[in-house]
Amino acid sequence: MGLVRKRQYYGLLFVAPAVIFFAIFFLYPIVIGFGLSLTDFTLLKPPVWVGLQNYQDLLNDRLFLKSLNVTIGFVLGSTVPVWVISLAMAVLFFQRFPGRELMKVLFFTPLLPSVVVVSVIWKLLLHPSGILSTVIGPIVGQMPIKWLFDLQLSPIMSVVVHDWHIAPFYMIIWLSGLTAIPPELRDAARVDGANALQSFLRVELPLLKPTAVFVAAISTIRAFQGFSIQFVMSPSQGGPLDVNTTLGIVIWKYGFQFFRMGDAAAISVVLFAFILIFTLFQLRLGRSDDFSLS
Amino acid sequence: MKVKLLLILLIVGLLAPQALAQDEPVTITAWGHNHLPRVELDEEMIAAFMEANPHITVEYEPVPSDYYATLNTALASGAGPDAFNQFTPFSAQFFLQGILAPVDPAAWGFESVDEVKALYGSSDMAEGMLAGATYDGTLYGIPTEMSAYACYVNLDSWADAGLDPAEDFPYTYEGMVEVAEKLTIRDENGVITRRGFDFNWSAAIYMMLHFVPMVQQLGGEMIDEVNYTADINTPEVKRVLEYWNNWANEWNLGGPEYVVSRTGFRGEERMATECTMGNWAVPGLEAEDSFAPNYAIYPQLRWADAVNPNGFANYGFYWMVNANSSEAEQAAAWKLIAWLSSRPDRYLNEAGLFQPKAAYLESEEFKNNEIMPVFLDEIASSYFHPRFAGFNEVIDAIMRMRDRVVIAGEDIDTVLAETDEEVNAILQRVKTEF
Repeated sequence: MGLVRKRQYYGLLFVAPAVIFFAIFFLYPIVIGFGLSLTDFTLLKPPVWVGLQNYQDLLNDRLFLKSLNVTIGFVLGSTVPVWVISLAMAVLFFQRFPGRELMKVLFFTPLLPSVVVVSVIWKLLLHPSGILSTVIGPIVGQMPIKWLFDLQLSPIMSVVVHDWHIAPFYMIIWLSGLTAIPPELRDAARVDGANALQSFLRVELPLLKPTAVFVAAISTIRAFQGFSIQFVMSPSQGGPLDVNTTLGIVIWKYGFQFFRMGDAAAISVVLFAFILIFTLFQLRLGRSDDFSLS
Repeated sequence: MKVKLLLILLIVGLLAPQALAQDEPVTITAWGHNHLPRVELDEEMIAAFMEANPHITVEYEPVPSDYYATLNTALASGAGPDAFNQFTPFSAQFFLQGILAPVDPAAWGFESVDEVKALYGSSDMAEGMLAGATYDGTLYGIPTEMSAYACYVNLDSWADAGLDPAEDFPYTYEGMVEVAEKLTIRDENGVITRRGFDFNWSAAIYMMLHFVPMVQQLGGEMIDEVNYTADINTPEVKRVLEYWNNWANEWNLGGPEYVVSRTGFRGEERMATECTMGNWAVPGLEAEDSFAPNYAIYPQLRWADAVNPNGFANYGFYWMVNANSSEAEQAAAWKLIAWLSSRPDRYLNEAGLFQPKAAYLESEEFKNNEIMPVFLDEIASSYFHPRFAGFNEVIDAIMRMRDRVVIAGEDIDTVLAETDEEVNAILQRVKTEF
């Protein structure tokens, strides 16, 4: 009994640094952030307690509602297409064909530069007199193409650039999932007369469920936090007319441009709640037997 | 004799602590935005200051990016600097929140602030130059840079179009439409490859510094910084907004989708005319650069029927002192600021920054300066941009007004009415909040 208790103490001792780190750098800011969301705070004067007023105000806040809309659109565009594209790429590169490794490296390349660098490069490519306008403009019969200034086109380009940049990352995750599937199962399916598509849909896809949950959760969290591409690539950090103003940008704007820290903190809490709900939902979905082999 | 000795000892005794206090070591922090030529000169000046005042240590920190957010956050956490360089429109909320310490004339060896003001000329002149840091008649800062913008023309681009700015520069917004059309080059698809002139559409602040004076020239006033009210739904604002809209959509002479006008002028495009640069741009334009234009400087454009003489909005960067610093730190900070404002010649020649000291304006060197008369005329005829708390939020709303008309093509009257309501609501809120 004494030995067991001693071991428990050792265990606590060993996890203590991680727990302390988490408490200081994650838990404490979350608590403080929630506290701030209940105040009016302009940075230069002490916070004034307003209770839930900031949350109530968000219901009529034009920029918040707009950014919520933009964020949902961005999440949809940055998750489902990315899952499909990255899975398709992974399935492709799981096959053996000449030049596969080279192609894999080339497909992986967009992930190497930082998202800021990617955004700057795409901003140049999408200039009205840039190369994409020059090539595509005559085909679609419109010159110049206002890629980043058209109210419909601009948010789509944010999604395109995001998906182009991030799909290779999820491709690698899917590839590792595919590699982990025992080859005997595919062989057995083939022996049973399943073609490649049937084998993929009936054997591999269900077995990729844990990978799918991971990809879905991570990509959704990242998409909700969307900030850098819109901040760098779109005109006036989230424009034009806020069509690229995500919740992340509106938090930055309210906090560090408008000095409305209480409102910024309230939006942060709402964003946190969204991410938490979606992640829990996805994890719950992952635990169900919907995709099981049986 | 004994009485005399006692008196001497008494006087020495009374003065000694003060003398000691004056020499007591004090460390101050000074922050500025990262304008590299100024930073290098600041560093040199501060080193000399510390040599002359060995009891004062200055920790100088140019903030590389997001200066204003960094400054506000630091002040909020109590880690703010003792002295800081502040952009005039942003200083209002600092004033409202009691962050600003009044100018201490003792740092210059004077007894009254009027003597400090006199360094900037006769009372009318000084009032104008120092207005950017004056609130309720009290002076809270010393200019490190006064700016108004004029028009830079690329002489080669004008010559390509068969125009000579000496003869053809339009001086008016109405005239610029025709001249810019002649200067503009389009490719076979109608895409502009070189603009004759364009507004600086990039950030809300450039729009405000240009748009607000265009309205003022017509007799309008968009924002009342004293009463915190806005008057946006007016014929003057409508006329200016229509001009900007026509510039992009009707006359197709430029627009928000093109590269920032300054980049267009200094870069490969060789844009013919750019009107959002101050005298500070000259060192950059004269640096070794393959696209450095052969340029001349002309006055800012004005409406043909302008009722006010202003061109572009004046703005400044002022050294200010943190009212929450200790008395000794404040005194040392003002002493540093007095030192940094003692060499307007060096700041103009080495950093391209204009400090309007009266003695320097009278000097032969300044009188022989080829470009400064244009900028000085602009400063003298223009007004400081309104200063108010909630500045960023208001200019964000006004830029949205522009984009709703220019980009989204919304009805101008509806947009003006809604923006008027929105900006007034912001101003009323911030007035109580800050």
